Order: sequence, then structure tokens, then C-alpha cells
Amino acid sequence: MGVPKRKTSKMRLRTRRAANRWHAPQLSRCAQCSSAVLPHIACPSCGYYKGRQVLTIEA
Amino acid sequence: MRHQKKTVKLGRTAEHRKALLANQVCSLIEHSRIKTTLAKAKAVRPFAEKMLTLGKGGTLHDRRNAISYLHQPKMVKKLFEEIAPRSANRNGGYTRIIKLGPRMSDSAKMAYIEWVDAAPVADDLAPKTVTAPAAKEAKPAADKSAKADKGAAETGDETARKKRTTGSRRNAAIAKRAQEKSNKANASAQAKPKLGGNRMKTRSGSRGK
Repeated sequence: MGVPKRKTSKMRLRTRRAANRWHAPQLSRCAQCSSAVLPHIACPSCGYYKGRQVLTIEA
Repeated sequence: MRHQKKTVKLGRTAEHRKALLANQVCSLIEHSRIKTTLAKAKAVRPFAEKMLTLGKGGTLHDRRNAISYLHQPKMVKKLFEEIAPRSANRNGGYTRIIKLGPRMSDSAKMAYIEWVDAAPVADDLAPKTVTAPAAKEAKPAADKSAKADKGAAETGDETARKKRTTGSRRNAAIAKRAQEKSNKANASAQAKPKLGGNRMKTRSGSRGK
């Protein structure tokens, strides 16, 4: 059976794992209240989406 | 490959799925807007629109077909007599899905699904505490005039609706702005440490290995 000839170096290992790191979600700004919101989702702080009120937010 | 596997299964048997979709469409007819998971909303959409197409046909045969799918004659009556006529000028695309982000308990993506041609149901399903008193007064008035305008021509009705809603919206927006500011401050304060914390975790994790 084929086996690795060399131990994987720390650099190689870490370079490979660097691709798996955690990424923060890409947030956009609400056009109405300019708070950070997930894109394509009705703003949870003011309830606006595409320029109209879609839900009421409690204080 | 996914070729020709169009059915959204929702983890249910065929009977269970049919019953679920029928119930969801009936709720949609009754309340004109329902909040559900995004996956269900997407599964309901084609079915709801097929039912509305039946409603636009409006023959006795269509009606019987609709009842055989939905099992609720009352709701079929409402669909045929109130909801379908409003979409007379629209060829498909009768429903709208508004994404609402993850649910608290299980992070399931939630969404509203509603009829595009329905009068804006501001917040029948939301808890009943309205923040601004101005908004409270404006909303019932808007509802009444909406009912009065039902007979009016569709284009006129739409513009009137826009006018009405902008007024109440503006009042609500002004009243809320102050509260939003404080909310924003809280949200950003909570969000930033979270990011930092997670980053630290992942780094230390890779180092450990």
C-alpha cells in the first residue's frame, strides 16, 4: 500500500487548515435605520425591507 | 443528481406533506400572511399559486378541485371570492416571501409568505403592543378606508394605499428612531465581543492541533 514518505510539516498542515478558519458573516446596512443586518432579510431592528414596513418591532 | 426531483419533501411522508401544505395554504387564505420556516414557505408557494389559479378560473369544477386539495370549503370560498379576483391582472407570482432571519430556538430560517395583491397586513400576527400612539390611530383608519375602496379601480386603489401607509409609517418611524438608536448601541456592543471571541477560539483550536 502507498504510504506517505514524509511527515507533514507544521507549515503544510497549518497552511491547509488556514482555509478552514471561521469567517464572520457578511453584514450590510439597513437603508432605513442603518443598523447592521444580514442581507436579503427584513431588518430586525426597524422592520423595513425594500423600502417598506414589513413587520412591527417591539421596543 | 437532482434532475427532475422537484418535490420539496420537508422530512414528511406524502400524506403528511399534502396535509401540511393544505393547512398552510388555508391559513394563508384566512390570515393573508403567515410566518413559517423558509423551507416551508418555499414549498407552499407553488401550491398556493396553483390554488389561486384555480380561483381565477372560478368554475364549479375548479371549486371542487380546490376543495379536494384543501379540504376546507370555507377557505376555498374566501379564496375564490376575495383573494383570486384581486389578482385578476397578474399572471403568476401571486405570493411574496419575506425572509426574517434565524429563529431563536433552533436557528431555523424564518419567513413571511403573503399574497402580493392583499392589502398590507401591517401586523396582525405580531404581538399587539404598538409603540407609537399615532400609528395606533392611523392603522384602523387605513383598514376602514381600504374596505371602502374595495370597489374602486385597482390602479387608484393602489396609489391610495401607498398614500395612506406612508403617513402612518412616517409617524411610527419618528417615534421609533430614538429607541432604535439605543437598540443599535446595544446590538453593536453585543456583536463585537462575539466576533472577537469566536476568532480567538478558532485560532487557539488550530494551534492546539
